[in-house]
Amino acid sequence: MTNLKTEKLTISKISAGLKQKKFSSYELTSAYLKKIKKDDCNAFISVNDKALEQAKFADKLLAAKKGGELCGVPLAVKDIILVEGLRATGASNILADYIASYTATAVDHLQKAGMVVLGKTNCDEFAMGSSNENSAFGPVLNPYDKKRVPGGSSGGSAAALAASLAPTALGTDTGGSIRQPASFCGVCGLKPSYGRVSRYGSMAMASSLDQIGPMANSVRDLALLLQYMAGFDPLDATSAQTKVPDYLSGLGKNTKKLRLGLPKEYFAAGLDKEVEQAVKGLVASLEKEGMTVKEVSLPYTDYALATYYLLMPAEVSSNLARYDGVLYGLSADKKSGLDDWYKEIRSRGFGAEVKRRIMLGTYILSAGYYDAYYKQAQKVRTLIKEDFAKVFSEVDVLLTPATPTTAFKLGEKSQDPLTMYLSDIFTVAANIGGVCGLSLPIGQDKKGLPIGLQLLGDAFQEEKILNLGNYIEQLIA
Amino acid sequence: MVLSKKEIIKIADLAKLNLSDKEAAAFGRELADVLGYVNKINQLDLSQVEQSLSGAQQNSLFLRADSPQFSKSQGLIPAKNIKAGFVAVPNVFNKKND
Repeated sequence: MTNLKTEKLTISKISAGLKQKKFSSYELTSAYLKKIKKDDCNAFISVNDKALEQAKFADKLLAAKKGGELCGVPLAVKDIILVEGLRATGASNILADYIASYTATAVDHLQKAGMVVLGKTNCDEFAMGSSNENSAFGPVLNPYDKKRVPGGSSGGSAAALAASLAPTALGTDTGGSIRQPASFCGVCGLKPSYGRVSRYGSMAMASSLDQIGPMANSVRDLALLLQYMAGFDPLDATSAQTKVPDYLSGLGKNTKKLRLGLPKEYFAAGLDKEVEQAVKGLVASLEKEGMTVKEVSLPYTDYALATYYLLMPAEVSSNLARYDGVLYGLSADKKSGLDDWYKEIRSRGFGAEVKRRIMLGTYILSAGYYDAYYKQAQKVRTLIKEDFAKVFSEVDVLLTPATPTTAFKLGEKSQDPLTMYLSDIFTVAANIGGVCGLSLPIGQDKKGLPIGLQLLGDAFQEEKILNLGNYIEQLIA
Repeated sequence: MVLSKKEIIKIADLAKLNLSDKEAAAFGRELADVLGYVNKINQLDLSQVEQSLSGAQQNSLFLRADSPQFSKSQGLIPAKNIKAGFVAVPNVFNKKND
């Protein structure tokens, strides 16, 4: 089958096609690999040279009726996440030649279900960025407008979906890195609650905020992928033991009974008019369908971004101390002493944004500033958690814009780090509070750029945001 | 708020980074900008507020014992410079300091 159409395929369409023998996983995987070869968005850093072999194996499982719905479905993996035997650069020069010696738990679960890893997607270096301009392998371009950014840091995964180079993808989200690019590229993305999905095998950026999450062409696909990815993992010290519900069977159940909230702080100055209209228009449609929506308040929202840019760099400066070129990564002149070795490797290997955040974090954690900054930020985290706890006693799901604007132009914010940081303003609070969030496309602005809606749910209440997201998707289809 | 070149050099040394003069000047400005912004949290009275280490609910997380999950040979797979089963590191002391 040479003319296999890969445009915006969902898992259920692929699974039906495989079971009805309309195409094989081998044919489908070949079709995606061909498209990746011609990709002009720079969405991938590397491809899996064993992908076709793995697709053949999936076909055998399917032929023996041993494969489930994910069997034979291709998957793109953000280059922050390890897959044994594949290069894992973290989009950094410091790991340009690093080959992963083990597989992340989340990927392992999906591979065991028969998914085929197509390759590793481009991203901001060590997941630090909101535009994908910080990759050592060049920026990713937004498939909707190649003069614009795809968002970041999981920009390659989002662009791969938008350009139909993969039907499913994994990202990581520390402050919005799944939801913001999903919004900019018109795809769906889920940041699970802290502890829901194992972080084992994901390069640590800020360990108290990081989560691996699925990205896909439908909310149902997110639910299905999460079903396999979620669960306790003894290899992640902060993995939660909370039971994993049946996300798929929760879709469509009692959706109209969900109590919805609009946090007023997310509709303040700085929000693009067209984005605001799209979100409010959707809220009106939900009300028309008989759902109740009330205005709520998260009073500490205004402090969330400041808290994030204290906690995150502090953890970054500590986590990235491991990149010293001793065990893996770049090497330096063997004659240099240890201190010079470290400095040479790190100065050569890290890009500007990574250095900036390490510097910021080192300052924040240094004697005399720890109390004024880091400790205070840990206290504001408590207030933000209390904000969420209070609001989720009143409503089940919060609806907000995923981003203040649609995709911005390449280079537009890269000269001013603080302005770039402000593009995370609606997403960071969920990571600080440990709650779950998803972004789904709800329309386009006059320029034809996608607009994303963010749904936030309480910790371990993914079934509620998936249920509502699935409903909204059908409502606006 | 402005960070002096001396402060920037000191932070870079702690972070094990060599900075060019251009980088040091840019980071001085940019770090000052960001610190000026994040300082807004100090407007809050936080004297009675407890710290949170993560977004997790209290007691919902089980912390495993911090013990090695790899055998020594697995852990050394990526290492380029292994001698007698150990990772060889560069000289700890520079010659001038010996």
